[in-house]
Amino acid sequence: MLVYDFDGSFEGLLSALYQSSVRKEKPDQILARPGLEVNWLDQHVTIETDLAAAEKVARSIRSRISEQAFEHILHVFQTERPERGYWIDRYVRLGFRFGSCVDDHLQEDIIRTVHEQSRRVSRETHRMTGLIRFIRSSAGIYYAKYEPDNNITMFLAPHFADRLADQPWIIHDIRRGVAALYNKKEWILTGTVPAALASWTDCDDVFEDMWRAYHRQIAITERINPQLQRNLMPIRYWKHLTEFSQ
Amino acid sequence: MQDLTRGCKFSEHMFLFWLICAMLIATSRRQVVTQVDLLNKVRILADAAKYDVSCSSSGSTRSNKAGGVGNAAAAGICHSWSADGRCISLLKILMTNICAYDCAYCINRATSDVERAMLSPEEVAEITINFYRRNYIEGLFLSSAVFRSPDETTERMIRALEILRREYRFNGYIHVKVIPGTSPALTTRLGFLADRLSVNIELPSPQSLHALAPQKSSEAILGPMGQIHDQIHESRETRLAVRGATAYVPAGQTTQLIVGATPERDHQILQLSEKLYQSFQLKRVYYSSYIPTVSHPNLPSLFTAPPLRREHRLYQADWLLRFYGFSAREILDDRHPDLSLDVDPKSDWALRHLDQFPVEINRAPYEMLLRVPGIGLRSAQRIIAARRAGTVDFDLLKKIGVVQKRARHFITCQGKFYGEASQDEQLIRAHLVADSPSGKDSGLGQISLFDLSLPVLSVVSSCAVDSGEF
Ligand code: SF4
Repeated sequence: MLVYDFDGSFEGLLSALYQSSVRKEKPDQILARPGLEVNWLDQHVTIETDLAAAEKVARSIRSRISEQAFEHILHVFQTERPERGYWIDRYVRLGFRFGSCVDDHLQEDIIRTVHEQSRRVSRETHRMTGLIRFIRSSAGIYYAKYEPDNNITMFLAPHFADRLADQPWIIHDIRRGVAALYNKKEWILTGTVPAALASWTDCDDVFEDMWRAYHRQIAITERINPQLQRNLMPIRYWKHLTEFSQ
Repeated sequence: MQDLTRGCKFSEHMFLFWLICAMLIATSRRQVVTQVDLLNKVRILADAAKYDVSCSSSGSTRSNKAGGVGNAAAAGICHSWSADGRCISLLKILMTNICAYDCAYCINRATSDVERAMLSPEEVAEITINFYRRNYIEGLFLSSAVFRSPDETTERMIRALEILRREYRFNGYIHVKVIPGTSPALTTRLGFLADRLSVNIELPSPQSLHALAPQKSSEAILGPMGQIHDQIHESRETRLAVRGATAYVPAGQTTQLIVGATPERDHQILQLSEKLYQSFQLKRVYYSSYIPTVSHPNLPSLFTAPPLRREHRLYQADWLLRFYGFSAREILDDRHPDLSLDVDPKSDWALRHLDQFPVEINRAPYEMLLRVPGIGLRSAQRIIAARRAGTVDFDLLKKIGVVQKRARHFITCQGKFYGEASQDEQLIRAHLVADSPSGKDSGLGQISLFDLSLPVLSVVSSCAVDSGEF
């Protein structure tokens, strides 16, 4: 089996696509190096991240396939699934064959897989725009921690930078150690967040109590349906929701 | 390269600044104000507001203005789900439940023995902005009982909105329920502050309204609806001519009616809804199962279970009116006055029109695909896309989200029929009932908000191939 390995960054994966075109090869797998177990039966090619090459690949995807295809690729990458390299590679190959029509080709398994994975990411992003909960500190900073299935902090940040534009906030993915920081002007994404940040919890905020009271009160007793509630809002998300804490 | 991931920039320097902020937070102190009183009011007034069914906040897209807080996203966002499985999107609250009126079906009516409370406009604004900043809510859904008079109540609501919009520069979503009998001038002021207004029809016929809510007349309901409709229209024209003019009710108006309190049949209700969509261009009609909270000779007894399944079927039929190109008369008529509780309204319609089926998946126009049971908006769009690329076979249908079990009785794929008998109504009906997810949808009042964010996939496409290397 021909395996390409890359450094785990998006640019790294695009560099791998570039190399496969230069070397006229069709890798069976494209895997991220961190945590990779090398099988001696496989033929490994180590891809160095090449920003200029990645840029080129990105540009041709956007111009020769479509902006929408590029968006799908960005999303699929953030699923962090081991197959993502393979999916993206095959999708891009079909994309260069079918051009901007590629997304019509639902007969191809790979196209449906890419759509499905991309939709999972958009759906979680959409869901999180509602489920993020900020804690307010006395210094007026709003802090939210969460643990999404996909690496979506970069997709969420623009939404909050627009919506909560006049307050400083931090959105912290505590599982990945990634955070978006916003200072009322611009937001940045950082991978170096002190772990201590996550232990911020109690601020004795009256509005938290009020929200809990409101949340309890608004349910109609005659229609109580915990199963439905859990289907709509999976229990793994509850951990960081103000309404279910305490 | 940084552009690839959409302007994510990293600066060491800025991060240090943030670390310091983080330290400050650790010293957070307890707020001393005793808010027990306010908490209690929220409890009473949320309780009083909870039978309002509207949870949708979609229909308005607005970016935040510089220096302000809030935007309104086009696809509704649920922030939580309450224990009854309903989406919580807006802070839904009454200004007060002290009421001068005495509507028979209402828990807040003047003669009812409930705990009463009243929020000041300042309090409403403060709670809203603080919930919003913590991302608990998408915005505010404000309504009120009639405190002294409709106008006096509306003045208080206007005050709350003015504080939010002007002092807090709140740019988020606001939905206000117009009190029947409010003067046109005040309705106009309200409309320039809110995103959405609703005037509730309450009961599906003037007779029922007269019997149960004698202080509300149909004129007091239809009058403001007409006014809002005209002003929305005017405002659109003005905004085409004058850029930056304030929008009037940019997210449109909605209404709500109670199902199961009075004897109207489903076909009357659907015809009413259709008329409201057509003549007042309403965005939504909400249906609310009547939950008995009071005993009254003209009302179902206190032990009547709310007609949840009927409510669910009405929402499905409403969906057919708005998105699937059906008219109310097609769905129900005098001979079939009520929606079937066993099968969904589209299947029921198809069973009564078997002469129009089966249709060939590879040739049927989009409008016809939408009429096939088991094919939804998204799967119809996918079929059209896949047809552009090649042929569609029966296996592919399942893979792109068609409910094969239901659809197979009504379609052919490349000429082949996959059902048992194409014209036998009884047999097909029996299959559909057996295959229906019976217990599953029983508690579902409204279709989940996620279903609302439909893809804006165009049915016509112009795509091209451009071959070459990177
Ligand atoms: S006016 Fe409204 S709050 Fe007052 S009794 Fe009638 S329905 Fe209830």
